[in-house]
Amino acid sequence: MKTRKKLRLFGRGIRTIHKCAPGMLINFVQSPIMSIVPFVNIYFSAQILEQLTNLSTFAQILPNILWCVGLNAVVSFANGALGRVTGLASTKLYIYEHQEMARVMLGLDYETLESTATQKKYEELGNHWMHMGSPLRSPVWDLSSLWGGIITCVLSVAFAAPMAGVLFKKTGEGFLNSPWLAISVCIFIALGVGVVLFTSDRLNKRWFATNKEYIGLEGIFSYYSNMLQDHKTGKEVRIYAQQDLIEHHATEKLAGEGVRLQKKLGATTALSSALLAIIGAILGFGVYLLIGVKGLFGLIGPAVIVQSMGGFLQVVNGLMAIGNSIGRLGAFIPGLNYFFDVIDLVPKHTSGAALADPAGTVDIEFRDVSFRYPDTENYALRHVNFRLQGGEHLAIVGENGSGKTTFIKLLCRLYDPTEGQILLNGRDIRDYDEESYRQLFSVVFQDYQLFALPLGENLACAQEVDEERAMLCIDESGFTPRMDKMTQGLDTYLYRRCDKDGVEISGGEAQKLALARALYKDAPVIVLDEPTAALDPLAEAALYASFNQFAGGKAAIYISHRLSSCRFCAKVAVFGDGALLQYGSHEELIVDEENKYFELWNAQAKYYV
Amino acid sequence: MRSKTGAKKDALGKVPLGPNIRYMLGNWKKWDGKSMWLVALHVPTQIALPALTALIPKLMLDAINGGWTPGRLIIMIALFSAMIAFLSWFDPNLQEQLKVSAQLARMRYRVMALRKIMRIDYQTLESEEGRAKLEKAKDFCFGGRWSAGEEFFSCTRGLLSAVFGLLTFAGLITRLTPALLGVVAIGCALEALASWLDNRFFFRSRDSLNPVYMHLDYIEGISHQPDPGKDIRLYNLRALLLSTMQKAVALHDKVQSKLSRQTVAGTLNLRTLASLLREAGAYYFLVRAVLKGEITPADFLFYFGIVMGFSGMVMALTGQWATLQRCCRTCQHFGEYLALPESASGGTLPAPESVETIEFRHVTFTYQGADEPVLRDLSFSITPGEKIAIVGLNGAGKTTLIKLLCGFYPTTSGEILINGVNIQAYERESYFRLFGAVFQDFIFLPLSVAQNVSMTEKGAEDKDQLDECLRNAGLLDKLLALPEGLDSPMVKDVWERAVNFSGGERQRLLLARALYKDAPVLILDEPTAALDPIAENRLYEKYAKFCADKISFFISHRIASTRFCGRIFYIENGVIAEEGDHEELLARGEAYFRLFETQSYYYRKELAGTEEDV
Repeated sequence: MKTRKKLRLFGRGIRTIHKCAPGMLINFVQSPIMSIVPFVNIYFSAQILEQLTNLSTFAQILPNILWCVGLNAVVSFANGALGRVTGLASTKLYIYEHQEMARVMLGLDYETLESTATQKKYEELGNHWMHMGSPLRSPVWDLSSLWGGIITCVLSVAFAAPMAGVLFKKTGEGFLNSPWLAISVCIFIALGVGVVLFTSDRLNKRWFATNKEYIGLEGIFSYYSNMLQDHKTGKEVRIYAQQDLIEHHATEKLAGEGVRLQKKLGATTALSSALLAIIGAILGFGVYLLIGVKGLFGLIGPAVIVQSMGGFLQVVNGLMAIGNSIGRLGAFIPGLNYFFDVIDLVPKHTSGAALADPAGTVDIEFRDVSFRYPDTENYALRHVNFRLQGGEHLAIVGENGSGKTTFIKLLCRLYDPTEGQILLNGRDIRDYDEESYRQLFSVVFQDYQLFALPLGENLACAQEVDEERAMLCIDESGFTPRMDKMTQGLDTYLYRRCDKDGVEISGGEAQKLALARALYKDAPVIVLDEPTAALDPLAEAALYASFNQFAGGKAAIYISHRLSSCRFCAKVAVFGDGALLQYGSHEELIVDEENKYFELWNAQAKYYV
Repeated sequence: MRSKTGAKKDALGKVPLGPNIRYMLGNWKKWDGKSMWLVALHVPTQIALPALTALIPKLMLDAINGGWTPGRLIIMIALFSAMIAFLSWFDPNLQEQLKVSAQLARMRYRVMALRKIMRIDYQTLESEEGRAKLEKAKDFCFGGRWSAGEEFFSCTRGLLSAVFGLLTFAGLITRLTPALLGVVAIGCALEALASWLDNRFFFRSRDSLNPVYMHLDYIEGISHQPDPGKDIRLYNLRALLLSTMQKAVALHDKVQSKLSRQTVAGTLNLRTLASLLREAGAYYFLVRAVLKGEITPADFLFYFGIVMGFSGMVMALTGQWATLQRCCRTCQHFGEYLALPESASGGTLPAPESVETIEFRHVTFTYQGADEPVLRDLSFSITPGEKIAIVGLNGAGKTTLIKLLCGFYPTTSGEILINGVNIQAYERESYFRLFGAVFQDFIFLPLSVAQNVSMTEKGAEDKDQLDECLRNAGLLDKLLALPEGLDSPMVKDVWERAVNFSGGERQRLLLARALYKDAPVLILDEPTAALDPIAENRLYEKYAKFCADKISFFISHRIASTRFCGRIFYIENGVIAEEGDHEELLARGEAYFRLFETQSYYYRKELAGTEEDV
């Protein structure tokens, strides 16, 4: 990455934080205040010591005590108060990150959302989050701790300043009195700092790389343990005696490689701490020697001695903070990059005309439509020509993988055709506004999803629920018996994901709710993809019987492996290998004994006659 | 005394500390007893390091005032630096070794939990109680960042260091002036009170904030997933989801600002007061002591350092004590989970090699907590090689019957016999070997396709049998065409290159798995729901071959399938309402007949009457 791009990212990160959680930037004020804290006691205890050795009276010392205690109280109060501000800002930023990601992803068109590129970006951001922490918050923490470390070091040097006069002057005979002592200690310090910065950067990187590797191994274990925590998996595990197999595969990597990595992680941390400790001690030797010798020769007083020694101890802390944050700094530009990559995703279709009359008549035409899923070579649909008008009911049948569901996805504009076009009332659907176009469809997908939200909101898909209408749709879909058992009515949460009092529902019940949601929407085109797979024959028959009633004058598409659907829909479309093989009424198609429909029909119907 | 008040005020009730600490210490000793020595070594270093740091300025001043020779001074400084170097090298090393040891312990606890979860009695696993217990036990070893099983190690270390450190430092201070200890102790008590209040505010607000985070995480979590993405777009759920999030955030801000007011107004002032008191006391008493000639000015520095160190240790002690209680509480939950029965039923008799007869004798079954039984006084017996179809409406009790037969639940009354022996007498794991089953909910393991079918380690499968079963399930050709063939990995969440199978293909894999097991009893619960008519028909035609020499159960909403079964149970309200072969039941003209008529209505040449007649 170019430096300019890095700087731009950094600037954008800071601007974003400033905009939505300015309190977060208070960290840069708080960290120097925290750095000041120890110096208050160092300074005043040195002063008091000086007074004590000079045999001052208590009254003379008292002002220093009061100053010290007062200043400490002020500083610690300020630190605490600022801490609240930054704490609040940090949760605010956490929320912002999540809200913003959700806002962007929910606003994407389906094709962009589903694309490998988008999913990859999201995954990279997630990985970064797991290994290095939040992309917006962590940089602030790391930078402010670096900043605090620098302040500590500067203050320490300032505290040693009173010694400067005697350090670089020849004060007598021998090495201990020559400026060379101070010069060599300074060189030592510079070398030590260099080594600390260099190695802590290297060791930090090694730690993060190892940790990433370890988390990868843990992923397999976590998958198994999450899977098994769902009690529904328990039957298979027991019947197929999967216990040993699972245990072996879940733990083999962790037990061998994982332990090794854990030990490596520990050794890396220990090594960096130990290095710091030893270098600190060597430096300490030099600095103490310098202070001690000068003190012994009477060149500096006790206050300066105490102050410089205290300052030196703080230098070690400051360097540690700098070392630790520097190692992490390398990660924050990539983190911002991942975050903004996701935030900058834009939907493919930006604008279009709104439908003149969403409830009006529809006339949908597929004109030589072919379609390939992104990144695949084979066509899922080939040269489909087809027309559906208001009031028409169509059954779609075909073998597994013949393109039925893909056809629906194109119809609902989840994907655009690779070739050819789809027309609504004579106009290419790409000319319409996406949301407005989708108002036309009430769909139950084969893999429909309900949401961990209140039941009423699941049906209305909005916070305002028309209760009467909701109850009507629940009744029509056959969900009423289960509904009657829910004490909270339409306010009952589905599932326990967002509410611990939520309810679990069976597959058949969920299917009925998905249908109720479609009915509630009451759109001009109804699409049902295998809506009865989990229903018993009577519930299925009830749906068939009411189908004509609720689909009434609407256009309807019914996809099913149950060919019964071909009898109550006026038209049948037979798909095979991505092509529309046959189209016509059941009576027209069934007489053609050479073709697919005859084969499909008889495979099933022969058992019922 | 603290323990009593602390535990009483705990909303979750009293936690027995002793047994839980013993349990965790016991495991520690068993798994990595050596690392216990690390703690013993660590405690003195934790005390020595701050004491040495406080001592250096004093010694230096003493040396200067005492007029030492430079040589002696250099030796003293060198010795000191060496000691500090040693301690500050030694300390992180010990800590890291201990951390590794703690993480290994966590891993072992997780494996224990994993093992347990796979072997626990199925009924308990499924029950409200079992699920609630698992949820509670999770924090012990499964929690994201925090895990009690791991935390216990550092907590023990911290607690011991704090206790011994406090004793040492308190001794030093008391020797000088007991009054100072009193003042410092009051300051520390105030600060501890502030922490306690903060904690209380925090836990209170956490309860109201939990749903907020649940909503935030949930909505952010589904926003990028393609599957819900379809419904979100078709039903324009974006607005609802975003406003739900917004509502959660508003609630969050309200709770947070209240929390913040409480802490700034209450505990922050308290903390400031505490530090004021502590420092004023320290300076006052120490300066007086020097002025009175009880200690030298150099001692002043040393004692000041000791007082500061003392305060730090009090804070550490209160923090670690709270942690210890939390560890013990989750340990208690973990223990309760591990204590759940592995097979509430199940004896010691090895299950037979072959199943000759199955008999239900007056079997009644009621789910835990339910009012009505699902199955009532069910009796039937099945002879070798019989093929049974089970038909009935949703909720009639079909799947429950199968679960009882598989031994997942004990009967509420009555008994189930296999080869004339009550199944409770059979040893559970060997009993499970009798069944090859396709259930309605299923999982695939992140292993190869071949392993998912054969359930064996890599290469241990019977290749011919595997091919045969996959061919019978109608999937072999498709699988062989994959770049990695039968070795293709499954489960996309774990392996990026995993194959994505469609619903129909998954159902075929499950069938192949049941066939591969080649168990004496074959159970298929809705095995054709996702299959197209041609594939469905092929399954029916091969069905007789699949279950030759076996007893088989076929549950389906597709009445066509029942023709291939010699005997059909029509279940209604928990009893076998009708029984016989397809022709017999049709001839009876009752519920089964009506069901068949309903389903076959649309398959007739002429649609008779209007739909209202259906």
